[in-house]
Amino acid sequence: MDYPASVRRAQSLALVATFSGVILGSNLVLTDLLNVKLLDSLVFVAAFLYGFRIGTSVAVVSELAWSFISPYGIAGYVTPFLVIGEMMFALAGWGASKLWSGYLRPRPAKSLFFGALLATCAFIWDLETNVGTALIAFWPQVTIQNVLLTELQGVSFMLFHELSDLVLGVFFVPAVIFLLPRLSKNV
Amino acid sequence: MTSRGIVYGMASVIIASVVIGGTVGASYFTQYSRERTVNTSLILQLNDSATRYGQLASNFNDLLSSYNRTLSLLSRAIAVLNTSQPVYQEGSRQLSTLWQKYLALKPASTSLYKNDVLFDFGNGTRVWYNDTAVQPGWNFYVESVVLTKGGLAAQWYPAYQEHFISGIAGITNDPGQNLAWFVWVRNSTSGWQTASVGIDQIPVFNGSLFAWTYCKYDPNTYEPTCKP
Repeated sequence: MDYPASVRRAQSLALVATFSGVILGSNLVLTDLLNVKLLDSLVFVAAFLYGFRIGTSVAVVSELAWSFISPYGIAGYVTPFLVIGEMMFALAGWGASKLWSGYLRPRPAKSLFFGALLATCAFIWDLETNVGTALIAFWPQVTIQNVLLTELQGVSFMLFHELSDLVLGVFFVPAVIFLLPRLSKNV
Repeated sequence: MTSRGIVYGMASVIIASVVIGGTVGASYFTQYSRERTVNTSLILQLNDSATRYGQLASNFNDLLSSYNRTLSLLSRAIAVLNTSQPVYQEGSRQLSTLWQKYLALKPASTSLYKNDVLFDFGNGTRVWYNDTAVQPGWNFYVESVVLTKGGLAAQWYPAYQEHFISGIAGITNDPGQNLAWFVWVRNSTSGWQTASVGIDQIPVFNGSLFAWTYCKYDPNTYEPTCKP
């Protein structure tokens, strides 16, 4: 059925709001598990199922909101880096949908692709946000050494982030991609 | 899934493996670097402590040398003090205590003389002080003061620079019964001999053997009637 543009816009807004709400809620629930969040996976899923624009919107809205309501305090100057980094997950989700659009059932071997993609994105997100942290911390005396030091100091956090995204990408993302279209069809 | 999708998927897996493996490696490298820094810091602290310990040991040795000199001066002072003065009695008691403390603290490298001394109280009580540590330069009077813990009754004769021993550990000479303390020196050839000089003139040396005996003497010859 071909909906009018206003309905499609309302649908898009509802999707972004729903995904962002779930992301913020899950972030709060997982507050104590540092660097383990459903945010990356759900942005990826949103982009995979509903396109790059929806995925990016979810990334921007949820990351912006989390930057202000996080129990750890307001993120401050690093927020743009977080948002830009999160948009990469949307890009990855959209790219994955182009490659693996026929993916309908969770299969272990192919689920690994999602996990690998998310882990790689997590790595790039960490690198990028650590550069942002170094820029903020050492400005205006930013040197390559300072940036490398910041990267190295954050390595243990990076590892948790990558591993959690790998696991979520293998188990959680395929399950959501499989179930969500069926559930929404029933609704 | 198309073959292109599989290829990209495999590429993703490989990249992710490299990324995660690299992160694990970097994580360990970071920990290693941190531990190395801590280790370097500990080594510096250890070296610093060793230097301080060396200085402390050196200061301690200096202090012990001063202590030793003080003991020497005290022993010399006692040797020439009027024995009736309270300062002599106090000094002779303290000398023994200070000497025992010095023996406990002295460096292992300090060389002292060692000799044996017998006290025969004439009533069957015989006390041997074997391997007694003495300071080079002491005479037998100072050693006797130390061994008796100041319990040496003596009369100082400044004109002769000599002490006349009138009692040891509360047992005093009794001219009425011809009883007196005698000092003996033993040598390898002639055995025990009464000292031919006053005890201030008897130097102590490594391996020397002395004795104090309390017994009757011949009133004509002043020769003791006993032997150690």
